[in-house]
Amino acid sequence: MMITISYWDLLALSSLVVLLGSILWLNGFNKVKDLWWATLRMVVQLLFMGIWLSWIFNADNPIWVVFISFIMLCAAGYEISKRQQYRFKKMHSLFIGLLSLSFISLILLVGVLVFIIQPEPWYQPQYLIPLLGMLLGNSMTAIGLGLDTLTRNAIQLKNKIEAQLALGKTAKESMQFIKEQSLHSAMIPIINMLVAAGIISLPGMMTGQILAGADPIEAVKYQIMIMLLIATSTGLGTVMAITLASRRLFDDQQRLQLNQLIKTK
Amino acid sequence: MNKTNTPLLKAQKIVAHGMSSPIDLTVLPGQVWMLSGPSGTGKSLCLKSLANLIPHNGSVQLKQVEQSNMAPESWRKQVMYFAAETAWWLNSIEEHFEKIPHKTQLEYIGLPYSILKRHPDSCSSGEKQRLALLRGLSYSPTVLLLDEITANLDYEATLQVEALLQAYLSGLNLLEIGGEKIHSTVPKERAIIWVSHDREQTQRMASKACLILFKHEKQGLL
Repeated sequence: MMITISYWDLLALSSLVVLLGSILWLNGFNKVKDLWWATLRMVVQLLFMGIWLSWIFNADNPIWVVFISFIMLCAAGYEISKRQQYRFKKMHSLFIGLLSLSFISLILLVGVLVFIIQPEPWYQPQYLIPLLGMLLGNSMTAIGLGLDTLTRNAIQLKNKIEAQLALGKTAKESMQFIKEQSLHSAMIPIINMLVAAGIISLPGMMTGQILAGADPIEAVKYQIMIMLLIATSTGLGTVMAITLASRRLFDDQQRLQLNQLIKTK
Repeated sequence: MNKTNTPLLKAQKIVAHGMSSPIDLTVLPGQVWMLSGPSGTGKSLCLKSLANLIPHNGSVQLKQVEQSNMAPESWRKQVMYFAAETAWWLNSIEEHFEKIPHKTQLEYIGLPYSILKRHPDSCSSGEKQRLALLRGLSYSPTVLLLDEITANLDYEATLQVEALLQAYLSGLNLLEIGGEKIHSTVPKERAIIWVSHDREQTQRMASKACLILFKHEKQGLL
């Protein structure tokens, strides 16, 4: 059985962040307020999530599962567009992010629930929501990085794109060198995560299951599954996002349209 | 012969966002048009519109074929834009060529064959400009749009570039120099539109041609 932690324990532990803030402040860190605010947000958000989840697990109604999945998707899509230095006009960044996120992650999620884990019913929130969360969290970071690299490079390396267009290359060919760099920056963190798993880092989900009293081998099998899903969904999601975004950068006459992008930071 | 009176490139009321006034051009085969005028009047935008690299209004025809009726890739291979600053996006010079240039082609532009293996950053502006011309001219474009391509070059390099362009205009075939057999004996009709601030260059090159002055006033043509 799992050993529970009391709210008083958590309150005592939060003094650590207060202490950390003071030490950082003494060392010249001027964003102590941000640190405390972020910590407070984390606590409140997670408590809400806990309340939500136990409520949904008991309610046993697919409508609520759909609803919370939708909220999670929108939040992830919003995070992607928020992290861009250059954003597309007319919320296209949000659409591109949302589409690439949901398309790949949802297909993989439904597939793995129906064919591999096979809970009864397949949309059982206890499985669906944590898995979706892990897929979205990782895809979000990778897609955000990939799109940011793509748009920033398109602006900085405008001359190199235009020179290729001038030589009669297609928009797709002219963007190839930037697409490669964007995929690179999106995939490197995932590859590093795979390499470090089990040696340098104990992945969160596995740690949680072990703490909750699960057999380590079973926990590892779950972790391997989720790692494979994460690698696939981030990779395919990024390819999709980068392809959609680089198409958006050109008009129907294959002319580079950088005025589609607006600087945000 | 009435053939030479058919315009190679005809532009009517070309205007892009940022250009001070619409431009009309009727370029005959063999002509060199020199464009000059104060900065900010849209000379580069005019060239980029002719190459269909930016959105614009008005009509452009190449040998009586309307720009919008041709795929942009094929249009740009025939009406080719060359920038002042050459662009290189891969790690060696040779990767930028569809077909690796022949030694004789490099000799013709006065460069050693070994330059192909070098990184673009290690070449001088003059070397890069000549390589960029070789890269572009190997597609045998009909009209060259030159955007101050000698602005960053010294006098010697400028003359070399001008000589290459004069030779191209009078029918030089780079493929032939590269040792390929050319079946067609009819020399290709070619023309140049050149934005340049260099008055001497304008006099040297514009022998057969016209001089356009872009102005801030409405009457853009002189």
